[in-house]
Amino acid sequence: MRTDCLGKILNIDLDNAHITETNVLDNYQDYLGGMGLANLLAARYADRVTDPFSSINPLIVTVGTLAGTPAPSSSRTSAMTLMPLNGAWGSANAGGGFAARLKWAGYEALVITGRSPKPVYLAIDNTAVKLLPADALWGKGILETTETLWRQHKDSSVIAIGPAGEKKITFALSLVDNMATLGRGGLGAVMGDKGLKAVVVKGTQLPKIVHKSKFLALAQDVHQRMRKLSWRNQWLRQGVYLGWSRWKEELSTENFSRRLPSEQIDRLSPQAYEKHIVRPLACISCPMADKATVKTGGAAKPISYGLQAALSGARWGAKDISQALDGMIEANDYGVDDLTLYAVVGWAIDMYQAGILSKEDTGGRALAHTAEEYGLLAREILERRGLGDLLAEGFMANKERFGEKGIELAVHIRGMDLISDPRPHSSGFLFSQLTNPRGPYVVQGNSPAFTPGKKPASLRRFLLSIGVSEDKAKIIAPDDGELDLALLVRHTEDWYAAVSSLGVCARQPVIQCYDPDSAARMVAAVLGIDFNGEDLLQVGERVWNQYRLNNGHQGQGQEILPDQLYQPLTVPGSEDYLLKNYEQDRKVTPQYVENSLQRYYAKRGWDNKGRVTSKNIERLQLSQ
Amino acid sequence: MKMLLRDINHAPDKFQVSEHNCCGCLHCMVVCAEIWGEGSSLNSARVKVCRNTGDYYGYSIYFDSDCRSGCKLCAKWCPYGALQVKEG
Repeated sequence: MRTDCLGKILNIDLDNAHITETNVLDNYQDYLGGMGLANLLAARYADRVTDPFSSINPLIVTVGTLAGTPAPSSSRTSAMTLMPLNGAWGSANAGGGFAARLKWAGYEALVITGRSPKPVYLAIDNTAVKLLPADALWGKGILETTETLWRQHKDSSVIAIGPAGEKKITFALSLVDNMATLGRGGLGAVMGDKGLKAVVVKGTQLPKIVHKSKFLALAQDVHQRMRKLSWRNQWLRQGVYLGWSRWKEELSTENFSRRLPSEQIDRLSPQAYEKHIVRPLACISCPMADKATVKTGGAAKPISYGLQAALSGARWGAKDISQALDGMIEANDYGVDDLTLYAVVGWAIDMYQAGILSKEDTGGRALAHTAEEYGLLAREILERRGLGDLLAEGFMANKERFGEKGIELAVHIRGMDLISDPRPHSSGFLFSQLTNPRGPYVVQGNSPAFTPGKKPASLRRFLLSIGVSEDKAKIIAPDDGELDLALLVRHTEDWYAAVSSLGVCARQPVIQCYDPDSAARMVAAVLGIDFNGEDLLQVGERVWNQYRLNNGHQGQGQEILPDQLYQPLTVPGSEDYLLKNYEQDRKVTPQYVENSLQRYYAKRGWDNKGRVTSKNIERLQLSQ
Repeated sequence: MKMLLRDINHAPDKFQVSEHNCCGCLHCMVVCAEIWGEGSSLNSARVKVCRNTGDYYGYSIYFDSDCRSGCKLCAKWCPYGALQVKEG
């Protein structure tokens, strides 16, 4: 492979303010960039980093193989670090412009270790790389920080943290260009621990494409496919809100104890949201913009996507989408994951009501599930005051203080809250949250099976489009019989890992316009190598196995659904929801989940504890 | 509608520029630099899209005087109607 098509890896040692460049690894072709390269680089650290706040915990930021080219929707930034919320190696992924600009600066990855004695930000202007003082930015919100850096560094992209990251709140995240969240699970806290307020990058050198005209024809073809999607205009207004008919049923509140009343759900609808949109915002290279600036009263502010406001607003009881957007924007600016924040508050209120916490803990307040109380406790967490200081550590860190009973009241998988309530319809979404080594995440394993009620034939069409054989597709989605979510997710995870290694977005309209063969032809044209769809799918499988293997060192083995999800979800004025299978004809039990997981492990070639086997390590040539 | 066309001879006749539609995908600039750029430098693109100062979420579109080929690739790749080829 011609390495002149690839940039360098930039290593930043914050302990000594020392910056070096190294070449990409010899086996780049086996992992590609993005998620693959991040996992490959993390493998060097996986067995020796056990504390997210140790100085050797690396913050790894990578760009995909197609980043910075005209390949549509190819500017996803990947990142990896040992996450403070649950101690997992989290593979994070966000839009914005950072990945393309880092590629244009000549870099494939950043590996940031150490801890700066004073706040700094990393400024990359092509190959001029500096650590600059960030004292004036420390304490500022992300929105102001990023706009300040944009002003000081024209035509740049920024990853920044807010006060939550500085205070090492374990569910602090970062934003890319103020419009994309990066690193639920505490990546922002790792940056804060390192004294790293932001990374700003500007680049002007397009990556070398070995067979340029061939590549441009392939990119244009995918571009045209996206622009011709019949539902593109609706997507440009609503983005992931388009799946509202499914999402609205999953809006539970009060620590996952009851679904929101219908009238409240209606006030969080996409139609209500659309009234607040000022302008859509696109990630670099994306024809399917679903970011936006929105206005709820004051100046227009950027957001990642409107649906997230509905999901988090449901948790704290926002009375309408305007309030929900305000809450999300404030959380984004502070640099905290609003979903986890309000899940933690809901859990704390339940602990109070169960007698695990007392007025002594709460500063004399009786805690109840009211919007006002959610606001007060959230503020205490963000300021690390009183009980908030403990809650800022997440669900699992205070077992001694809250006891087994307290921890049992938390609704989480592997120490991370679920994105939404799955009880209305068990789907590929639930299963992929269960099997993700980092815990619940939004799009990993994305497929039409995230939505309930899809016909087997339509699911089979999707499976064929991502390279699954016809025979296997029939086994996964038979005309008569149950959808095999376990096997389906095994394939959709691999496809996700493959496209994320290219730097391509996994949102539905994007991944349905790429397919393994055309994507592989793009890789071949860029790098000048022989590379086909099967090679790309094997990269996906390798990367997912590496992800799992990296996490094996942390004991992230078994997947368990929280007990609450086996209880009925109360629905005001209607029948309760019980967690059922995809076809809604069979109740999901712990045994059902365990059987599905065992099938999933077996299909992946893992052992019955979900551990990557030596056979897979050898077959896929994983890095240890 | 605000139009910013600088140092250019024929582009106003060929393009309808609607900056308020620009979402910042930069497809126009990247494709132009890929096709016409010297040494694959993004700076050598004939069309440039820059983030505004003040209204940070809006963009300005500039053409430079080297845009003479009439290839219209920028408009063909623009997915948001910020650059459109004029009819006729």
